[in-house]
Amino acid sequence: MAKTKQKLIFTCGGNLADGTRFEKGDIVPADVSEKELKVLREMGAIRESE
Amino acid sequence: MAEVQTRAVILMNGFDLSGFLKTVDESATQDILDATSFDTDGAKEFKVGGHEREFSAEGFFSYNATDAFSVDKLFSDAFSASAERLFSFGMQGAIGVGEIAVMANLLQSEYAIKEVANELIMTTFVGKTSKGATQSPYARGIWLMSQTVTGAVNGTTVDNGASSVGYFAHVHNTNSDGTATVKIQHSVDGSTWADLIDFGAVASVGAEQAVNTATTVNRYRRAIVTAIGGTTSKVSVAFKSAYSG
Repeated sequence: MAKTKQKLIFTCGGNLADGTRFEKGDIVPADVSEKELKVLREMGAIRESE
Repeated sequence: MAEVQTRAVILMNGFDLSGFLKTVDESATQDILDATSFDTDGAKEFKVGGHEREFSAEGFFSYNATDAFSVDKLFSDAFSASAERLFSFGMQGAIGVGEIAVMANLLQSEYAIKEVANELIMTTFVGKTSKGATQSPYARGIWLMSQTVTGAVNGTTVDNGASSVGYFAHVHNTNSDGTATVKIQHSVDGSTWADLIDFGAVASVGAEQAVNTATTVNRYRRAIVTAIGGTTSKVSVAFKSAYSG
């Protein structure tokens, strides 16, 4: 089986810098900046998923 | 510097007692045990024993047959319930974000009513902290929010200066209008937020607590609240970080 592209998903609920609400299990929007992704990683709020 | 007490906010189990009480006494005592034996040169030896905190309050009796949340109802439950009371005390008046919040989980030990001809009917409440299975029942933290909420509100950001480990929190919804969802969030930059505590839907005239001794709490913290169903809610959130139990 071919490996699917990995996606980033949220590991908890929260709010992005622009106020957008996200919930655990949601897929991280593609337009989230690298800077904010770094912050989310630091907080353990995102992880990669198959 | 001396401080004059003109206002205080006193919450118990989601009930705002501030308009009913006129005094609150907070005391901590520790037993000092005399361990002096015959083998002494006359100097006594003492050992530290147990310790406790006690909160007592005096106020005005209030009873309303149609009001399920009267002072009398709240205090009378002491005679039929052994559950801890979530007691939160803002000693600095109209509580603002970042001001001192005293939190105590109390077992109520006394409720007294004093009636004297031609005098106000007075009540007295006494409660003691009792060590829980996983936590100390007392903490002195700060207020993250205390305001009337309509719709969704993000609370003011508090900068703790650094991350910390563990927390103890009380939430009171003192408005009888409606339920509110309450969360405490944390952040490393004060811009992007992750949920730290989700209290779920806190009922009107209800209270919840959260205790944790292991989770890292990031530097910035805030409360976010949503009043459900187009109603308003008066929500107060007290939070202590760097909590080890």
